[in-house]
Amino acid sequence: MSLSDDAIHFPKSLSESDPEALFRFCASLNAGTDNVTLDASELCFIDPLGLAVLRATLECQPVGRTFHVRFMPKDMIKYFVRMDFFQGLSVEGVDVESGRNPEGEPDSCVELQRVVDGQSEAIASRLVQAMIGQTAENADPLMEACRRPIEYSLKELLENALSHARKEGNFGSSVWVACQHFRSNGVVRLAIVDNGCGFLATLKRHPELAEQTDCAAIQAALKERVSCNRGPLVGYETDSQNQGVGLTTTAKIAGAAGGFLVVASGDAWLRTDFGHDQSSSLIECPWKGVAISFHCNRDQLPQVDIPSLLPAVEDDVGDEINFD
Amino acid sequence: MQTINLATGRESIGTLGMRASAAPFRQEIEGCIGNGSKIAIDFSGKDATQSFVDELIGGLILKHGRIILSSMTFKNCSDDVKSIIKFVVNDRVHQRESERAIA
Repeated sequence: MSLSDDAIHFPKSLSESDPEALFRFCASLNAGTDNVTLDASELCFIDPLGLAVLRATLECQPVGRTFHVRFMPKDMIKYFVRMDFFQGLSVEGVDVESGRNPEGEPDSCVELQRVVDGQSEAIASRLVQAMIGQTAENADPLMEACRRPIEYSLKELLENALSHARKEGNFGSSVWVACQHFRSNGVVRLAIVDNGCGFLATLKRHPELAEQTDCAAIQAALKERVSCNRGPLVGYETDSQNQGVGLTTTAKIAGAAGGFLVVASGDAWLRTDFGHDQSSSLIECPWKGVAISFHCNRDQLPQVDIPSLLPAVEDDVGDEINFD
Repeated sequence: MQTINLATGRESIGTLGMRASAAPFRQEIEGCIGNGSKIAIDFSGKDATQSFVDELIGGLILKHGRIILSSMTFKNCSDDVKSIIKFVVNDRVHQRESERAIA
């Protein structure tokens, strides 16, 4: 394939720090159907959100469409190869073999996975264990204190993505998960990305939705007990109800561990520590589905008390619960 | 009393989190209680999310009411899991009672 002056340029960073740059880049990949050249000369950082959104974008291209990557820095090639990022994709120009570490990556702290129904429980546990470097069978107490809030958050976010993305006719949607522990500064980042219907479609009839916009839908989703399938209208036999607290609790876990969520859906995104009423626009590069980045500080994880972050509820029934 | 061990075959799982994992157990619980049996739900020290616990028992409370609690015993639960079970139970009991009041 001949090199083209019409190459699409990677930005310097694909990450939660600049969601607009990330989604604008992915929108440019979706803009055409022809083969295209990607210039990666300036790319120097990609985080779990960038990995998951980029992988989701590349996996959903028309059959036969090929991307030719040029000038990717060697350290970025090694980073992508570490998690077999290009496997199964129609991507040329990246020397995968030269990027491999012949000794494997035993200390790899980054994982990327497309999640399939029926395997999600085991996949999520494996991702967390790989990221923090321990197994359930060899649990160190300090690492356990870090693992619990991470695994809780990942599974609540994953549950939301798997249960909501395929609503409103989006039966073919998928979910991607990426996790990384940045050992240099102790930051932990998770990303859960789907290409489903998005918050607005699932909440369009909810009374808490202030207006029919993606921004309002994200804000509503971050309120406690707001859910598309909670209440007397939901048929118990046909649709499992949820309590509408998974996302809000996860946001509180991130906050309690010195972090935040970045939530993007449709033409809007917001960051939870900036205030839920402060959102930003993706009007020129909307994301079809939901993309969430969970950011926290590893050293603050042991202090997270998950039950205290659940919504307050009167304990009228505690005496009727039998614990042994 | 029949016992359901949630940890069987899940040694590599740290936190029970997915509703799809809980659904088969919920069906088993409902079946036992429907036959008039009492049932023990053994968490075996595993952690659990609110979503998992809600799928396990929250829907049963919405369907049958708080009376169903007298047929269940929760075993080997960490303090966190006990707190989450209390949250799910209280939340669903309140929801059922408020929906019935409106109806």
